[in-house]
Amino acid sequence: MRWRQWSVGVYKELLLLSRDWHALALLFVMPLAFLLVMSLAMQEQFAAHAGSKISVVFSDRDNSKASQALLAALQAGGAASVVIGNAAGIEALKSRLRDERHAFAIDVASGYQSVLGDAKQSLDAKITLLVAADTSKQTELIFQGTLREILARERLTTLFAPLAAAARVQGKDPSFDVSTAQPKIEYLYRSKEGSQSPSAVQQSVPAWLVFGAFFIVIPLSNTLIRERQQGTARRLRTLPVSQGTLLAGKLLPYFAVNQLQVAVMLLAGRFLVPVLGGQALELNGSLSALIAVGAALSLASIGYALLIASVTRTTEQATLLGGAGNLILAAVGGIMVPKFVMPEAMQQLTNISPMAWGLEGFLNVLLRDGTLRDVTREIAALCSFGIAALGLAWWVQARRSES
Amino acid sequence: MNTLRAIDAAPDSACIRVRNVTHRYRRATRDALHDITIDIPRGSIFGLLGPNGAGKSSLLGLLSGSLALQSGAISIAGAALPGDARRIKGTSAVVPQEYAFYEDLSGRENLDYFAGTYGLARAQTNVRIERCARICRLTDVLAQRAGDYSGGLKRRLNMAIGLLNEPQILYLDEPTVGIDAESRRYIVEAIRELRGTGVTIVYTSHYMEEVEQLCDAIAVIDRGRLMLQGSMESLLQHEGEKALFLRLENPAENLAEPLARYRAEHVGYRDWNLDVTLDQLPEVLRVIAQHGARIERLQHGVSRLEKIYLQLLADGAASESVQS
Repeated sequence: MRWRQWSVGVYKELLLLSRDWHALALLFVMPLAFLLVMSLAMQEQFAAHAGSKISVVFSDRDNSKASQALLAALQAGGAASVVIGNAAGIEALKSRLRDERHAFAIDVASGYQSVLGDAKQSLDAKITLLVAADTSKQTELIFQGTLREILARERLTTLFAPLAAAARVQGKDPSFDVSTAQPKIEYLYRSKEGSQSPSAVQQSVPAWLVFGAFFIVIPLSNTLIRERQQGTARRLRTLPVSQGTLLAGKLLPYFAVNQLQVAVMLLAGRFLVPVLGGQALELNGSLSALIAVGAALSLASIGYALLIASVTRTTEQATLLGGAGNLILAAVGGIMVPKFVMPEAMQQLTNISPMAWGLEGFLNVLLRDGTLRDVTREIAALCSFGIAALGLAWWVQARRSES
Repeated sequence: MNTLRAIDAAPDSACIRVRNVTHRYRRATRDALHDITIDIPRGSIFGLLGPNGAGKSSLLGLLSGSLALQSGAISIAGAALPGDARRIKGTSAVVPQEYAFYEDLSGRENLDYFAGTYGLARAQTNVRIERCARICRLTDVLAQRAGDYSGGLKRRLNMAIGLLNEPQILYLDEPTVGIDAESRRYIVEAIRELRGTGVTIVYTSHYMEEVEQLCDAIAVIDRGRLMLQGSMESLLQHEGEKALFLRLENPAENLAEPLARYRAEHVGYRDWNLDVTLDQLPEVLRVIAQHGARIERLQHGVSRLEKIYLQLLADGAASESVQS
């Protein structure tokens, strides 16, 4: 009997949800749209981290062996995609930077080669780095470092040239390998293609997935409030069925919807984003960890939805409070602005948002190749939040029915 | 204040026994129900009357188990609340005043859901749905979305849901409010049909004529206190000792003054209510004849429920204001 009571509740809730096109759009279309837009829009930003080259215009007015060696070093370094510009001077380069999508321009003035060979002279009179207006400070600092390193190497090579010639006369190997001065680099994110930085989609899928999951607050709280307003809740209390069975029949479909959201978003990241020109999501980490984070996230979002339903009286209030609450949780939780670009204090603040716990859990699995053990803390936090919210909602509802 | 009037003794065959029940909501300054004792005969239609906020819904809430009993005792068909609540809920049903169903589901889907929630098996469910739809005249519209029903159809669906578990006790909270005459007739017919099957019906309504037609017994509650209870027949006769109802052939408004000492009340276009004993009746007839009025219909000794009810509430309010 209890199974029948429970199953008709699940079926009823699924029927109601399937007919609520607004809710379905909110739960699936909205996060999907965010995922696609943000993955594609942020692609370049993330690509800079992921090894895509910085576009640089190179203007050689010295036209010497040394300036050609500088160009070759820039091209070989892998950090920059170098476009050869005409040697028309700094003003022409500025104009080009304004009109075209380049991050930097390098002007090599006449006399560069002779200054390079004189350790007492500064190179700044002969080499000018122009930075485009929309180039981020972070990119600028990275490229400045790269250029300084290349210039230092070129000057060293020039200064050591007489020593190398002498060594050659003595029959010794005159070359020195600057690559031996490189550290070994290991990325915490490990893709199937080897070590590299995460792509935009690898960050966006978990973020907008978590955001979308919390939006069940609107259909779930609305259905509960409508039941209260229309007297259906009162009628249900007079039926020979426990409140637990009724609640389970109501919540299970929403739990299933959350899991479906997770699956749809992962599949969209994997197959849809590449079709639109983005990178494909790579499904790293353990499947059990992924499922566990998804389940814990659902418990938290359901608890939040019930709490909103219990403290509001109308569907309008619930929609407003739930929707605005979600936006705040998302803004604070690093959904809208990735946590890594936030200042330290803001990064600490993200820890108060359950969305941040969900996001961190998914990132641990998808980015950091995490196992169940790696997401224990996030799962515990999400479950605790969900259970506390459920308990509070139950208490508020019980108090309300007494008054 | 104790304004309770028991018109006849409580029957031994009481199906529902309410004893000294008091209920107060959290933060309320007075009891929603105060020391209520009511007996509801088995198989009867029992009218629970009172103005808005009198405590009728609270009493229905306690009887149906949706409110927790705070003090007093309630037994229903031999089972006591709150201990036997599950059993009691299985054999009773509530038809709330609101459209307590899901508007985005069809009529059949609603009935199917509530049947399942009662714990009815699939095969049994289909039989019950057909039966309830037939009783409430819903068969032709079961496939339609409930939200698209007219007000009358919604009331009938509300009622049909309440009949799914073939309840021994049915609580009807204003089942005919705000609907068209046809739907009201269908619902009243359905209630009459149920009376024949031995179901005990507790019925609240503001339509006194309907209550008078349907109910075997009534109780009147006002401001949480029981004002009166008894069988309809004895109540109307007891209260109707001096009741004279007249329907004249013309309005004859000139009668108001000469009949004022009999508390004459012009209650309709040609209808009058008067307080007249049998001894006074010849004198009243003479006055009417003198003023040129002709009588179409005369009824003495049986009051109308509406008159009794309004008088009772007025007495209660007067008594309350004197006390305060």
